[in-house]
Amino acid sequence: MTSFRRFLQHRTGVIGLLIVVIVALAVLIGPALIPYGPEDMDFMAMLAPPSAAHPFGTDSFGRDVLSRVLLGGRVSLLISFTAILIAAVLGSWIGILSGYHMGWTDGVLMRVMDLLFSFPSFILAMLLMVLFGFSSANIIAAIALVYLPIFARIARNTTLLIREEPFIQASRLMGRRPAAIMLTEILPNISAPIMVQASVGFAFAIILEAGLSFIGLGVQPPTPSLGGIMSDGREYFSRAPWVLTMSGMAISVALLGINLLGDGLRDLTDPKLRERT
Amino acid sequence: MRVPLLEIQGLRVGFGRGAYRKEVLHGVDLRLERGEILGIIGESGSGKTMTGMALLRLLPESAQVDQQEMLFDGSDLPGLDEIAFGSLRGVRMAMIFQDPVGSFNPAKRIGWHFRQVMKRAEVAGMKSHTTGDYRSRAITLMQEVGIRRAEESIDLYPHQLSGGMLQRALIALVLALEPDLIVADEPTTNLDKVVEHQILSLFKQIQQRLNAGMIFVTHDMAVAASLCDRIAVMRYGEVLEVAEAQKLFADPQHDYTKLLIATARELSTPSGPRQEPGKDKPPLFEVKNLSLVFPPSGPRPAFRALDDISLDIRQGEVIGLVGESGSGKTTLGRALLRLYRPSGGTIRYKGQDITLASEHALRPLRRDLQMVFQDPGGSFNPRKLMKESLAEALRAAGVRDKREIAARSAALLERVRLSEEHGERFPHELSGGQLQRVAIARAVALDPTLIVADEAVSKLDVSVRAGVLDLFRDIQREKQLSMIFITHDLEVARYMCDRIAVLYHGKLLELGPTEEVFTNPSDDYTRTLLETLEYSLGGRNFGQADYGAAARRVSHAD
Repeated sequence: MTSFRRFLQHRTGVIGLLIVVIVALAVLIGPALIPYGPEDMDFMAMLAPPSAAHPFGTDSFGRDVLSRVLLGGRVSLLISFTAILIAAVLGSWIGILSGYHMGWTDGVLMRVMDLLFSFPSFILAMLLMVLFGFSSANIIAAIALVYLPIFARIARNTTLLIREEPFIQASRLMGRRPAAIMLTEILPNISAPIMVQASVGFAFAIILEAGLSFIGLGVQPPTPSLGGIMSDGREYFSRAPWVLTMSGMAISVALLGINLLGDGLRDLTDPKLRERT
Repeated sequence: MRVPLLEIQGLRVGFGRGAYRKEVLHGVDLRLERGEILGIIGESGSGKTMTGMALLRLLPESAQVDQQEMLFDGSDLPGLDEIAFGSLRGVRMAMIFQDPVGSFNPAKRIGWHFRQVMKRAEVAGMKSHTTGDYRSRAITLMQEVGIRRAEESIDLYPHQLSGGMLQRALIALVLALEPDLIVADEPTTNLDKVVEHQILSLFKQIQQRLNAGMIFVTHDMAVAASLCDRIAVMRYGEVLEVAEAQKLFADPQHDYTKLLIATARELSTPSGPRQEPGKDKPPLFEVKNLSLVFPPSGPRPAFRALDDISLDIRQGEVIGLVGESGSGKTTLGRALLRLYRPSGGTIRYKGQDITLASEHALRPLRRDLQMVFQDPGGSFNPRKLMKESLAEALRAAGVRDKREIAARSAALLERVRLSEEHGERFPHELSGGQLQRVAIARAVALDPTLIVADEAVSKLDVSVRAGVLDLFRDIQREKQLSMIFITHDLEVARYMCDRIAVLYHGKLLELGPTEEVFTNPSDDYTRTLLETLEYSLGGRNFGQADYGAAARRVSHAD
């Protein structure tokens, strides 16, 4: 049975995958289907409650919340996804290098990772944003740097586990270059735990990005982002609870989908659980 | 008529459901008398382990066990609930596993395990001994099984004992239970021949004293022949024949049994004339005073794995490295390939000093020096097709043209008597023997001058072992390769090698032509090793190993 067929038998994993696909389609195609732009203001309908015309209601400028949540979701998801992708790729390389070469390479790289790890992630991200400015590229870089050590650790540990395997040694004995061995022999065999961690990390990255934008250190207005919309909604929470609630729920749904998907992936790659099915 | 201790009829075990259901035991019938040892022999996948596990209800819950009858001492086992069964298992029925290390809780001292077992036996109310002094009773038992300094060993943790001592401790635990039925699953497979002999002697002695029935699962026919009263031969989840041990080997009935015996006999004679490579040509490898010390790590002190070893490897000869585990034979093989960095001495390859050459400087030489590993499953990247692994090797050997790579990997597969179709499979879709053939093909693809084969056949079933050995030998002669053949199996060494090097605790005890070492060993240790060979299938004393007498000798020694 192929991995994908086996995954299809994992009920919660499939539900997670469906949610993620729906969320992705919504943020990618959704804004084009809505008659209002995210910055179109309607002063006749400021802080209007949810209705047929505005399913998520409007905010203090009369902007359609649904449109803003979808577009903000796109921004947030893209930033988080890119950041995790960078963290996973870079972290894997650092981890493989460390695990394969051991010795002083390992010592230096891992101490740097420890240093990054020793800061609370949110504080570190805030620090980086304040130091380097508020561009989207910097948000991505900050989130990627925060999650880098996690991927490096996982890649290193799994590399250490397989580096003494005969097939790795056979590759060495062929006289192949270390870089080639790492790329073709080690990387494919450690990719499963990395992917699982990436799905979990993606969820955390969304929260981190939302948090940064919420306190104004992330995506800057007028570009919508989920954290930014929540921050706006907070001021009017007692009069118009839908702004905060709807954007918050959007985050929850996305996280739920990603976490269920991650669970499915983890069970798929865990050989102990595999035997039971 | 007397009731047999154990009566199994029509035992079936299956996994999965519906279309995915796969039956692994198809109706096994066995019976065991009190005081009898029943051997179960068979190759991997024959269901011999499964039978014992099903009997003791040790299979995972996903297994479906079904039987017509399973009677233990007259009582119906399947009819017992978990609690009633639990009071039998581990009290009246004991199991000894292959891996003694895994049978102990690593966080608890040896003595703790004895206390648990003795308490259990008392709670079950089966045993007469009720004196509360666990410790002194445990020490007595440990002394009985020949554990050195039992008073101190009882306070040690499992990892502080050697494999042999731990297996003895496990037997002592079983002895504390005084069970009626012992299921022993390959209990000596991981041990050296000399230690194995001592342990088996103990087994026999204890089994006789308790007058217990014993099911002894093994793949080693020589052991089964000497130890067991009756032997059952299993294949593909079925019992093919059951016979008295003597009769089974003298007059096998089933074709498969005949094949097993014939292939094992084949190994007792050399595969062909020994090579006597010219002494005038300069040797391929010159090793002088080689030593290797693993540095201390944590509480573990530095370990001298190789101690002042000197030998030459000439072109076109096969040198066997023999010795017990921990003797340094694998370390020596790997040091020659410079997978380890020696601590002293020199290694010269074709006159060039490679003792401390850097990884970078070694790279052009790497292809010349290849290795075939013990574990066929781990030898290949699990995510690559076999032909991709071969293509990798060919590319490393400098072949660039895609069509040439395809043609040559097909030819290589054919050379090791596989077909092109095997190249389209993943490692887990091939058997151990087939994988080892591809591993040989991969090594040959690089056109090496030396192949180090590290226990390359010890994980293979007997029936395919000879075929793989012959392939090694054919290719070695054809290409005039040198080979280092690392093995703990003296028969394999005699079958394959032109010269034999005996290692002991990292020292080279002797090195000489195979016939000379086997007929006229110069060292006492070699002589002890060779004695075990007399009991092999082709040996003079096959089936005669007197485990009783040897047992008495062991207990006197301590």
